[in-house]
Amino acid sequence: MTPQRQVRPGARAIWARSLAVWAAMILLLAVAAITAHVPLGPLNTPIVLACAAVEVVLVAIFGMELGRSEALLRLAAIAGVIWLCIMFGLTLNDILTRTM
Amino acid sequence: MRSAPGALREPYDDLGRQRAAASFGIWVFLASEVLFFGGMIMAYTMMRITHPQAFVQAGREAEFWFGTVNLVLLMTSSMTMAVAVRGAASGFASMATRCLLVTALLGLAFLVVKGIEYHVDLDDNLWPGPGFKLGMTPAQLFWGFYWVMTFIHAVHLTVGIVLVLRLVVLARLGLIALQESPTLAVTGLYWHLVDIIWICLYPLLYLVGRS
Repeated sequence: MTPQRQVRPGARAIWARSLAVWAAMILLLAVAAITAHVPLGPLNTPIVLACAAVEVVLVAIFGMELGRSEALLRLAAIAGVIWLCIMFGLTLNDILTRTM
Repeated sequence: MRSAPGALREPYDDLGRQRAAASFGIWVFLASEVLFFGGMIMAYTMMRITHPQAFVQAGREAEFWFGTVNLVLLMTSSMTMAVAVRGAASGFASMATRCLLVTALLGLAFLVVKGIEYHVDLDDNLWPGPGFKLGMTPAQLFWGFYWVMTFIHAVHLTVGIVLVLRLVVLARLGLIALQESPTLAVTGLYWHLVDIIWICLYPLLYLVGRS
């Protein structure tokens, strides 16, 4: 269980990686904010939600370091997402299939 | 493993095991938070599917620029938090402390912007109930979600700011070794989740009905 000491990055490398992720997230925000103002019909909502989803993945992988975490931690994180999918799946299964 | 002064807590006799337990504990808590906010977003989704036109009409009233600026502030704070955590792990304690301070200040800036936005919203009669700007329509549902979700998020952020400032003070006083203590990583995970929640709320509350 004891984490192994990894090669420690320098301050410049830490800032470079974090700034790159931040720039990607700002770019995604700009894409979402701009496309939201363009009339794309039914595509507007999926595009802004997709941008948000990628931003969440970026924070989870690079900010929360899930990619380098132990399997137990990834399981705990995935458990939350799985239960969320069950909740959305069962509820939308009802709402979207109603015949009014 | 060598233990930093004050970092090791009962019942652990090894800092690595304590760190693993702390990380697992916060991840279980974060999973419950995902479901907590997920339930509210689920209810929002149901109402939006049921009243699509009312949500478009209500969404246009949200202050786009306040929400956008706040997302930039939180994304930037997530970056400084990530630098603090990785910097501390690499032995750059003073850089980590400075980044934590900047993180807390960005969080405070978010709350200031949010407070101004709330003031503008209230001046615009966007509190659901009698006198609501859009009348007694289902648009009130959107604004009910807006007030509840943004306020609960702000409470979470306030807790995060207190936790981060606590770390800054403890580090400045030499009462905590940021490189060894699991507290910084745990606080960082919580902060990132607060950022993630705002990333999810932003398109639902500020990008509806813009086109």
